[in-house]
Amino acid sequence: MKFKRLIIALNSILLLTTCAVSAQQQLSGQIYLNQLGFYPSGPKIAVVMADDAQEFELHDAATGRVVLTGKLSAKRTLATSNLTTKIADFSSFTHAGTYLITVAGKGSTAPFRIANDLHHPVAVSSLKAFYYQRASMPLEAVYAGKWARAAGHPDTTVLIHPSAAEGKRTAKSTINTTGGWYDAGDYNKYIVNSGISTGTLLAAYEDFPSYFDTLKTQIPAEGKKVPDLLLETLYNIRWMLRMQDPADGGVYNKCTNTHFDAMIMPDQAVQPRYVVQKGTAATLNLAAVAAQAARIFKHYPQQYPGLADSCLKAAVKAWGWAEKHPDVAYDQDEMNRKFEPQVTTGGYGDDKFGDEWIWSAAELFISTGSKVYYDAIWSRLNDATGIPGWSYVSMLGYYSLQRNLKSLPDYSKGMTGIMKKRILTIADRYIEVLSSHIFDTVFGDARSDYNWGSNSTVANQGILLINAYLMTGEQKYITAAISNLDYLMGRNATGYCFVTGMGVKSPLHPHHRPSVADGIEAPVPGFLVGGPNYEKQDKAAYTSNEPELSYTDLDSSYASNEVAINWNAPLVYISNAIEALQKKK
Amino acid sequence: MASCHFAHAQKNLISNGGFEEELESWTDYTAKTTTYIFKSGTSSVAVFAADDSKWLGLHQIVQLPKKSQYILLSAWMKADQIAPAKEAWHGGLFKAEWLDGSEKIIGESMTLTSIRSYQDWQLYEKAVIIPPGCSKIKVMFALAFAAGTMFVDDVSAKILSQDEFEKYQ
Repeated sequence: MKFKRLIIALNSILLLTTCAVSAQQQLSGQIYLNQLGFYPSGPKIAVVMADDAQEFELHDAATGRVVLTGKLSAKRTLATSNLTTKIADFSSFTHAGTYLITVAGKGSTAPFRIANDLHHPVAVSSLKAFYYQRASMPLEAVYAGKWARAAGHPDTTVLIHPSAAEGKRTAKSTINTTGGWYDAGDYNKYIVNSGISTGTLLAAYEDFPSYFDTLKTQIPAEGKKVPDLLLETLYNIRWMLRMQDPADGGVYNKCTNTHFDAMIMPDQAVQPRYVVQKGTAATLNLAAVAAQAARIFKHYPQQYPGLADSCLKAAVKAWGWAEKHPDVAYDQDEMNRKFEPQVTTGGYGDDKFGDEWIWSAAELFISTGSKVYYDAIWSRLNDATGIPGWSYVSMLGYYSLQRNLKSLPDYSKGMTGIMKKRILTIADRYIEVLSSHIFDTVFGDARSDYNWGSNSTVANQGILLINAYLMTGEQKYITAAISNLDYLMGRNATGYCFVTGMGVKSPLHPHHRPSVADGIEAPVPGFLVGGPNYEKQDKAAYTSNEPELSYTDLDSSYASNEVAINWNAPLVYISNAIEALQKKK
Repeated sequence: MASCHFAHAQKNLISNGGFEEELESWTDYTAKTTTYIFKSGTSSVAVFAADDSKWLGLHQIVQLPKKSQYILLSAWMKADQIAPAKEAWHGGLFKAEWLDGSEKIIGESMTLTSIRSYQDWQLYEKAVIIPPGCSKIKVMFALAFAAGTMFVDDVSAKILSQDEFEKYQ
């Protein structure tokens, strides 16, 4: 009887439109799982904080009937953590429906689904988040719902910062850099971070074109029959193209205020805007994205006449500038010593460009077939690679070359063979830790995993595993990728689903200016927050020193609770890719 | 052709890599062979520095077979009281530089390892890609701005096939 009352209470919780707020105050904090649920034929894992409990029960959420009783695994520990867990594996249960799990002495999970379209909500919402980040245009209620807002930052008369003055573009003259996405919780726009974000979204489209051709996210279509992902991505690509100096092909590092805005809405943020000095990393990022965009948008000549050609021309011109300026780092401190006004917004300073050369060369090689770019990759292939981050992008080139193998000349087979081996070596290393990890995930094997933006590492590991699957067809890689998506959706030590508006316990106070300033209780949905970060650079109030628990849902916590386009892009990839692959089954 | 390629894959391009013929084929800057400490055979080479003010060591330039794409570089190294370096890269180094036909450096040099403190014999090896335009490789061992003694033995540079190279990835 007690249990039935619990079921009724839980179902009532689900009926509330603000269920996330209510449920997180009432449910067990000791059983962790993907709060959206599981695919019928997929792996199904819940994690229980370990004590003497030996069994778990799976209940039909509507009736309370026990549909499966299972044994918890032996205790799992990790050298870098004080946490101890047990695993509840109910993968053998394959019936669609709504269920919950109980463990004696631990209480219950919230109800979750076993269904085929399980991650559709997060797949759509994570992509839609980019629409909410659009600068220079109003977000209309028909698209944005209660998060509609006025336009911010027209960026049509952006000042040339003295560091960027060159030729006819003198200091304090103005250019138009309208559009694009706000980078993160702030209102500035950075080419380097736009590069990896846009490239990752385009990669998702290239890997799963037929899936994305029908995915709708309720964004302005401009009367064009173009997939929403491409519509959204193009909004930022057009901005990136505007950041290129047409005189020489170089690209400005960012369009920025001199300092961060207060927690205000975009239309109230009216500081002067600047473009600052050109740089090798920024220029090669544009070269990569524009080359990638060229081969995708060439299939839309009627909707966007001339766009593909313009992109390719911009990419080649950017490459040419970088060849003449191969070592121009963006050092904001040095810039501030030389020029006024001082700029203190995000730096994205990167002084190692081997990875940008590889990525941009890969995209240009695929899109042009020119051996010049092949040689550029080959000459840098001794450089180490790993999962991408904004300053470490060579793997994006690896992925692109693997997905475009059929269009590459025979002489590149040796090179792409090496890249394939490297990707699979990393993927296999991930899989080795899966079955012993305390949360049965690929992510989190080392303390250093829990750094700034750790959730993007989780998602990027997932992308690598999906690429391994696409190269080999081996299901083990998908299973491992799902483990990381499960982590993001709640199977982690904090018990949070780290995507705003998803699951029953998700961040309510992200470091995101519109979410703080719009007067709406619920944060703007679809954003992946940074996640646990043992370094806690923000000095916000945290409740634990365990790396896995170094997360706090406070808007002051930019080190664990900010949002960013380069964190959301891999979430878009992994959630949509897994949906696409499940649909194929 | 196949047998010729196989021969390249097996041949050590380094001459006198075991230092059995003292420093024959090597260009040295204060390196000495020793018969007291060695990994194999009867001798190795030792680089000794009393203080950390200099770059001391030895190198050998090797002509690469035409159309070679991959090479495996390896050496056994031992450290004896190599003092903590001032800069992160200081220490007992195993390096390589890519050279064109006129022995002009192509790109950046590679550091295969840097050893410090006390360390018994250990094999260091790395399979690397030969960059476009490269026809020679300069293999170097140096005690770079570090006091102490570094021993080196059984230096090898072998061309690899595609399949062999991929095994090292």
